[in-house]
Amino acid sequence: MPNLNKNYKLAKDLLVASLNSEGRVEKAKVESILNELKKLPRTKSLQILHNFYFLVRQKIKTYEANLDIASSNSEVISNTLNQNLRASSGNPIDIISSRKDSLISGFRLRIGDDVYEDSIQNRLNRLKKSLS
Amino acid sequence: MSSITDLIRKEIENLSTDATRTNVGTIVTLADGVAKVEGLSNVMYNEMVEFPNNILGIALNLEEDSVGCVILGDTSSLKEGDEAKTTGKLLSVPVGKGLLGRVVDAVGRPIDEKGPIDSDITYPVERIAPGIIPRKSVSQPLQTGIMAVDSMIPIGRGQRELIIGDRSTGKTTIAIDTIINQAKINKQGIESKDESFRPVYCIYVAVGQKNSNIARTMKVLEETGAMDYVTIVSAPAADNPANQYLAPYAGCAMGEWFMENGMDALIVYDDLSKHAVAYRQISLILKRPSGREAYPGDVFFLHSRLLERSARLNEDNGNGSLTALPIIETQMGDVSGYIPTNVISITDGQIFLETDLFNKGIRPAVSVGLSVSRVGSAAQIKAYKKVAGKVKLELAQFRELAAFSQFESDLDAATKARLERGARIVEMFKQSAYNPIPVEVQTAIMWAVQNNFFDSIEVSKISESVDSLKEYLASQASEICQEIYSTGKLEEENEEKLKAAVKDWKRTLA
Repeated sequence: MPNLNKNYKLAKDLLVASLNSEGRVEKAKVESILNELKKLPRTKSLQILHNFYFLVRQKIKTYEANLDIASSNSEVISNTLNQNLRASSGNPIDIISSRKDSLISGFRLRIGDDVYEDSIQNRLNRLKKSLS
Repeated sequence: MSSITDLIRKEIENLSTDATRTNVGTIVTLADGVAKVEGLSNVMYNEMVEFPNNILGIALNLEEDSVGCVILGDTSSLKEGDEAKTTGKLLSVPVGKGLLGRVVDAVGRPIDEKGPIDSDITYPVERIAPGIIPRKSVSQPLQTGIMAVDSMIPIGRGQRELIIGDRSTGKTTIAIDTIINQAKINKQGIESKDESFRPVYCIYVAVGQKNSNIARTMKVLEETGAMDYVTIVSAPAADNPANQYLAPYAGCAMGEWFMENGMDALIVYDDLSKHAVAYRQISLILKRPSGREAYPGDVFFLHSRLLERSARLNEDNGNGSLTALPIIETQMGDVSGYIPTNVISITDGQIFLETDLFNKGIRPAVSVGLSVSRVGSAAQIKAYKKVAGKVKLELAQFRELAAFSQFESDLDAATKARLERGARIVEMFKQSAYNPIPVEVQTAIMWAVQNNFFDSIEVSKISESVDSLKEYLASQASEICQEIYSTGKLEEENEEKLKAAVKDWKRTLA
C-alpha cells in the first residue's frame, strides 16, 4: 500500500511536469516522460504509467468537452457554448461536437465528469421516471 | 381513462424543463455484481448510482481513480463502457404501516404480487443509532409465548437477544413463535379496546435462505393470522450478495419508523451468519483487505451498527422501541467462532439451542447453562417473576446432578427430590412449534409446578398434564387468568382462587 501511494504521488508530479504554460498537457513533454519511464524496470514503471495515464486523461477532460447536438446548425450552438464556458471558467475549452439524432432536439455537453443536458430525450426520460 | 390522461397531463405540467447537470462515470470492469466505475467525481459514500435500464447500484468503495459500486439487480444487461450517474440520494426504503402484511425485497419493492406499497415515506437504510440521551432502560416485557424463554431468559422491549445454535435446532421456530405470539397479543389487546395497549409490529428479515423456507415461513404466518402485523424482507440465497447485505439494514429502517413514531416493533434477522458471508463476498470482490477467516476488518462494525439501532426510547422521544432477535448459525456447537463471538458481545444476551437436546426430543432445545438475558427479571411481569424466579437455578442444578447421578446408585432424599423436580420442569418446558402460550397461562402452570401439584404425576405424563391444565384454565378458570393478564400481579386472593382451580383440575385428572 505505501508503494501504491508513492507511485500515485510520482505520477502526479509527472503530470505537473507535462503541462505547458496554459495548464494543458503537452505532447512533447509527455513523450519525453515516457522515454524516461522506459528506462525503469517494467515492474516499477507499470504502476506509475497506469496512474500517469489516468491523471493525464482526467486533466484533458477538464478542457475538452464533448458536445452531442441534435440540430444541423451545430456550429452556432457550439460557438455560443464555447463563449459562455470561457466566460464562466476563465479558460478556453475545446469543444468536440457530434450530431446525435436520438436527442430529438437540444444538446448534451460533457465536461470532465459533469453532463449538462437540455434535450427532449432527457425530458421524456424524466417524464417516464415520474410516471413509473 | 380520463383519470389516466389527467395524471399524465399533471406530470407534464409539473415536469421541470430546465437543463440538468449530472455527475457521470463509465463502467471500466463488471464482475460478480460489482462494477468499477471511472468518473463519478462527486459521488457520496452509500449513494445510489443509476446505471442504464433503470438498474441501481450503491457506491461502496471510493478510490482515487475509481468507484466500486455493488449492483442491485440483474447485471446481464450492463456492459463495459456503459454510463453510470449519481442520483444525489442515499439508498432509501419505504416505511410505515402500509408495509404490514407485505413481502418486499431488500430495497423495499413488493414481491408478493399484491400491488404497490401504500406508503409515501422513505427512510435511508443506513442511519445513526439513537444516542445515550434519548434511550431508556428496558423494562417492559416482550412475551415470546415460549415457556422456557419467558421464564428463564425473559426478553424486554428494546432488547437485542441473540438466538444461536447449529443448523436444524429450532432457531427460526423460536423467532416465528415470538412473532405469532405478538400477533395474538395484538389482536387480544385491540379487541379489549384498552387505550394503554401497545401493539408490537414485526419485521422478519430473511437473508440467504432458500426460497422454499421463506415461502414456508410466510405460509405459517398467514395460517396463524399473524401476517397482518408482519413485514417480510426477503433476500434469498439466489439473490445477489448486495441485496443480502442490504436486507437487514432495510428491515431495520422499517422497524425504526415504528420506534420513532412511539410504537413498538420486533425485528428478526434470520440469519446474520449468512449476512456476514454476503458482506465478505462483496468485500473480496471490491478487493478490500481481508482478515480472519477472510472477513474484512469491519465485520464487527457491520453488525454492531445494525444492532445498536434497536433501542427503547424514553418518553421525551415517543417511548417507542425496537427489539431485535438476530439469529446466528454455529458449526458443531462452536460458540467461539468469529461471527458468533462478535454478535454475542454486541447483544444483551443469547438463547443457545443445543443439538443434543433437540435430538433427545427436548424442544425448544434451550441450553440453560449457556443461555442468558442481561435484562433479566426487569422484563417480566410481577406475577411471573414471583413464580419463575427459582426455575433457572433448579434446572441448572438438575442438569448438574443428572450428570453426576449416573455414577451414583444410592442417592439421598434431597438429591432425588431435586432430580424428580428437574425432570418435571424439563417436561413442562417441552412445547410444540407455532403454539405460543399466553403469559397468564404460563404463570398458572408454573405456579402449579412450584407448588408441587405435578409431583405425583409420572414424568412421562407431564406434557399431557400440562396440556390438560391449559385446557382446564381456558374453560374453567379463565377469570383468574384474565386477572393475572390485566393486573400483571398474582395477589394472595387470586393465588387462593388459583389453588382451588388447580386442586379441582387435579381431581378431574385423577
